[in-house]
Amino acid sequence: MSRWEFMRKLEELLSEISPGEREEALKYYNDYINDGGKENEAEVLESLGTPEQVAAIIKDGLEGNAGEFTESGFQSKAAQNANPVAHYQAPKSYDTNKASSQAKSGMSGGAIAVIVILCIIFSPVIIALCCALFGIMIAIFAVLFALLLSFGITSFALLISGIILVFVGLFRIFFGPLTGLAMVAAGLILSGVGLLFLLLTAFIVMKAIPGLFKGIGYLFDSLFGGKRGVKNG
Amino acid sequence: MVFNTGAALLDGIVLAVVSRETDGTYGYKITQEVRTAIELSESTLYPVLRRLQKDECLDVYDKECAGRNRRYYQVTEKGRRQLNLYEGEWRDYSAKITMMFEGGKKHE
Repeated sequence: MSRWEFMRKLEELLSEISPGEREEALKYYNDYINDGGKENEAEVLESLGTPEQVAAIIKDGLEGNAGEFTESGFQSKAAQNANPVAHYQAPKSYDTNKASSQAKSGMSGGAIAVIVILCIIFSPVIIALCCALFGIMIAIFAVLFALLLSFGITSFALLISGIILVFVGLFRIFFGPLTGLAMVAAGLILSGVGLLFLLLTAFIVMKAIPGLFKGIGYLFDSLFGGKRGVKNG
Repeated sequence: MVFNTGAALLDGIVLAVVSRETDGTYGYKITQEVRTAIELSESTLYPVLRRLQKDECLDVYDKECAGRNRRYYQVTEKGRRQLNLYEGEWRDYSAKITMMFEGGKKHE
C-alpha cells in the first residue's frame, strides 16, 4: 500500500468524526510518515498498521478509551478488533514458550469444541446407533442363552432317555434277547448323542461366553477409551 | 516486558519525553523515544498526545521544517505540574517495589 493510498483510506474511514478531529489526526500521521524519512516510507507504513487499525485507534481515543495496557505494551482494543491479526509484536525474550503453549492448548480446545458440536449435531444418529448396538448385544445374549438352555435340556433329555433305554433293554434281554439288545443299542446311541450335546454346552459356557464379554469390552474400549475411537467417531 | 504500563504511567512517560525539549518535539520523535522504554505500537501514541493536548498538558504549534509545517508538542505549566505529580508517585511506588524485592532477598 502506498502512502497516498494509506492516507486516502484513513481519511475515508474517519469520515464520521468531526472535521477538526479528522484534520488533526491526518496531520499527525502525515507528519509521522514524513518524519520517518522518505527512504523508510514502506517500513513506517507497515509499522503503523493498516488504515483500519489506525482509524480504530483514533476513534477509540475520541471515545475516551485509553486502550489496554498489556504484557506486550500499550494496545488499543479497537485496533485489535479492526484486525485480529494484529501487528503488535509480542516481547521477544519473554513469552515465546507461553505463546507456543497457548497455541497448542488453543488448538486442542478447538478440536474439543468441534467434537462437541459434531456430537450435538449428530446426536440423533449417535443415540439411534447406541440403541441399535445395545439391542444387538441383548439379542446376542438372548440367542446364546437360548442355545445354552436348549443344548443343556437336549443333552439332559438324551442322556436320561438313553440310560433308561439301556436299563430297560438289559431287563428285556431276559424275555426277548433281540429286542432287548436293540433297546440297549438305541439307549447307548442316545447317551452318546447326549454326551455330544453336553460337550457343546460346556464349550458354550467355557469358551463362547468369555469370548463374547472380551469382545464387548474391546468394543467399549475402542469407542470410549482410546483416542483412535474418538477421532474416527 | 512482563509488566503492564498503566494509562497514568504512559502519560507520565510522554510528558517526561516532551519536557526534555524546551522548544518542543514532534510525534515521530516522541514515539521513538517512548519506545526505548516501553513496548508501544507506532500508531498508538496519537490518542495519548491528543488527550494530553485537550487536557491542556500539552501545547501544539506548527514550525516550518524542510519546506513543510511540522507539528510540535510542548509541555504547558499544567503539564509540568502533572509530570511532577507522576514523578513523585513513581519514586514512591518504585521505591516500595524495590524494597519488596530486595528486602525479601535479605531475609532469606
